[in-house]
Amino acid sequence: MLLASCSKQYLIIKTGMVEDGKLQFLSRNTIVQSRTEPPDVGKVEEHPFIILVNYIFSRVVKYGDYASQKHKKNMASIMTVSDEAYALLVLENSWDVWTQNYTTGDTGNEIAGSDGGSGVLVKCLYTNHGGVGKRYGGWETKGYARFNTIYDQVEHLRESANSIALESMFMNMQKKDTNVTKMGGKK
Amino acid sequence: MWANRHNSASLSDTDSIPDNPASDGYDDYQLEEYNESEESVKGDGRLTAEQERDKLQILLSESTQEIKRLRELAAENNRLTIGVVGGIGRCKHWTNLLASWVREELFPKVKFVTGDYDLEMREPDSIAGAVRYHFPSLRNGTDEEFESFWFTYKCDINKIMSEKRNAVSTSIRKGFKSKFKMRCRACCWLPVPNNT
Repeated sequence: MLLASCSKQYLIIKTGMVEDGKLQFLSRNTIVQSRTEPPDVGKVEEHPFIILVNYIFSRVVKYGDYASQKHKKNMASIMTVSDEAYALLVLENSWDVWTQNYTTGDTGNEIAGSDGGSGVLVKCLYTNHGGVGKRYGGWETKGYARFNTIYDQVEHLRESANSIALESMFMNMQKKDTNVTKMGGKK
Repeated sequence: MWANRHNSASLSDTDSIPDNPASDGYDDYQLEEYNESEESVKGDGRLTAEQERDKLQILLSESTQEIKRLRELAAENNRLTIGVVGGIGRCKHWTNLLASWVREELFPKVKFVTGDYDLEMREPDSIAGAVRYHFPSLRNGTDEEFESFWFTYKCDINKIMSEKRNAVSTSIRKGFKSKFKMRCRACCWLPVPNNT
């Protein structure tokens, strides 16, 4: 029981940000707004935007481009708005299913109830509802609409000063890492 | 004017004109023309008219057959043109080129191709326009050659796009999973849930 509760707690992505004395967690509802969080709060490495770039956005763009340019250019010039919007859409779509899968270790879509029995059936938000293209995920019409909404949001948020500061912060962080790696290599 | 002339003719020349229905209400010039044509028909007899009708019907049937033959030739020509561009069936070289272009150039800009409408547009900023602009051999070729190429390969766009979407989704899932694992190992003294 303790293990289950603890694993559930840590299987929500924990950020370094503190609000009202409590640690913030990255959740399905806050991933789209990750660019709105101020950059100078909490640990830099655990800012929601940095976490998303390191673990999620870097997998949408071509790895060679990302690895060679992340310390030279802003993320906005490495990754298109469409890439970012699609990554957020995929995360939002499958967040509940993946969280449940990696919490319990089950590959099915059922969450175990508190009494050990089967609980609520978890489904992806915009896919696998028996659509036409089920083989490759079967995006529904509301998924397309949601993609357009996220696209507009990302396009708007990229122009904000907060977002630009976050991107430069990430670039500086990568520059430091690159310098450390080079120095280590010389030794 | 017509009514006046019709009335005057009917009043003055009724007896002089034989049983000719065309004489009523027509001027002299028209009457002469009508009489000439009537005479030519009558001079050749009813067989000539029937012969002409038969001739016309034969010509019509011949021209219909000719049109059919030309249509078949055009269809054959189209098939041959498609065969020349795409090789026998499909060309592996073009399939690979198009696939890499979709993955590296198109996918960062477009994530979903909804229906055939997006593939049928021919504007410079459409998908077909971008394909044609990107490959020099298509850009320098004629419209007909491009159409035959596009007819063969346009269905590949959606398929490759779907595969790429699926690959990205799988990669994101692995990143999500790796983040969870790392947090557990770094912060939690309890064992990592074994889900591999």
